[in-house]
Amino acid sequence: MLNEFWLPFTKTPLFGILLTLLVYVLVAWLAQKSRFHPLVNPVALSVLLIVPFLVYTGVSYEDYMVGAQYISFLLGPATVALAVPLARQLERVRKAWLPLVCGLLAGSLVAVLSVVLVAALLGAEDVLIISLAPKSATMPIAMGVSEKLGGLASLAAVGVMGTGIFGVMTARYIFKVIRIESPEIRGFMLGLTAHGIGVARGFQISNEIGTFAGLGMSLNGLLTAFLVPLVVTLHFVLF
Amino acid sequence: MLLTLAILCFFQALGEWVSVLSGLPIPGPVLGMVFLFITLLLKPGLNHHIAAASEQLLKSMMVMFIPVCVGIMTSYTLLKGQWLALVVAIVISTVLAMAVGALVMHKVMKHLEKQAHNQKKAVSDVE
Repeated sequence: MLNEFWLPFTKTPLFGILLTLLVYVLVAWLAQKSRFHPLVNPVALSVLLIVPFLVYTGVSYEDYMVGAQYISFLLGPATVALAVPLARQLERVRKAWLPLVCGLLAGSLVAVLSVVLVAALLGAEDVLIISLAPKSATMPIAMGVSEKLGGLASLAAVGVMGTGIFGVMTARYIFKVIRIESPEIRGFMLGLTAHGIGVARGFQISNEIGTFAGLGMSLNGLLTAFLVPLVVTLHFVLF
Repeated sequence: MLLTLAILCFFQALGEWVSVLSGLPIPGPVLGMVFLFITLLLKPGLNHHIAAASEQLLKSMMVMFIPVCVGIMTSYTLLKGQWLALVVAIVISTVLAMAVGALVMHKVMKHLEKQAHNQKKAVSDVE
C-alpha cells in the first residue's frame, strides 16, 4: 500500500520540493530559536538531514532534483534582486569605495593564493587544486572557471559549499578576535569569502550587512574569474 | 510578487544572453544584477514596484542553496583520500582571506578618518 504510493511519489517534482521545504522550515525554526546563532546554519543542518534520508529511503539525487531544481532555480532571480538593496545603499557604498577596493584586492588574492598553496603542500592532486582555486566565488563562476582550466565542476561545487558554510559559521568569531565591528567590513568580507551563503547569512542578520555582502560576493566573483587562471598558471610554472 | 519575479527573470535572461554573446566567464545572473542596478539608477521609480518582493526573496536565499549542497552525496567518491587536503585548505584559506581583507579595510578606513580629521584641524587652525 505504502510502496504503491511512495515509489511513484519520489519520482514527482512534489517530492523534492516538499522534502526541501519541510526540512528548511524545521531548521529555520531552530535557527530562529537559537537567535540566529552562526553554528546553527540552516544549509548545513538541512544537508545533514536530507542526505541520510535519501540514502536510507534509496531515493537517488537525480530523483530528488526533479523537484528540488525549482528551488535552486530561484537563485538566479535572487542574485539579480541584489541590485535592489545595492541601489538603495549606493551613497554608503560610494563613500567607502577606497576601503572596499583595497579589501577586495587583499581578500580575493589571499583567498585564491592560500587555498592553492595549502592544497599543493598537502599533496592534493592537480584536479583538486584547480577545482578549489575559485572556492570563494559564487557557484556558477567557480564551476565555469575551474572547468575551463581542467578542474571538475562537481569538485568545485564541494569546495564552494564547504567554504560558504565554514565561512558563515566562523565569521563572527574571526571578527571578534581581530576586533572588527563595522557592519560595512563584516558584510563585505562575509560575501567576499562565503559568496551567496554569506549573503544569505548577512540578510539573516540585517539588510545593511546583507547589502554589503552582496557587493562583496559580486565583486569577488568578477575578480576571481580573472585571478584564478593567472594563479593556476603560476602554480604550474613554479611547481 | 509576480511582477517582480517577471522583472527579475527578464534581467536574468538579458544577462544570460550577454554572457553567451560576450564569452565572458561571468554568469548570467551576475550580469543581470549589473543591468538591473544601472536601470534602477536611471529609473529610481522602478524601485518602489520591486523592493518588497525582492527583499522577501533575498531573505529566503538560504533555502535555495540546499539542493546543490545535497549534491555532495554524489561526489564524495571523487575525493578518495584527499579529504584532509580539502578540509585543511578550505579552513586555513577562508580564515586568512576573511581576516586579511577585513584588517586591510579597517586600516584604510582609519587612515581616511585620520586624514579627514587632520584636514578639519588644519582648516580650524587657519581660522
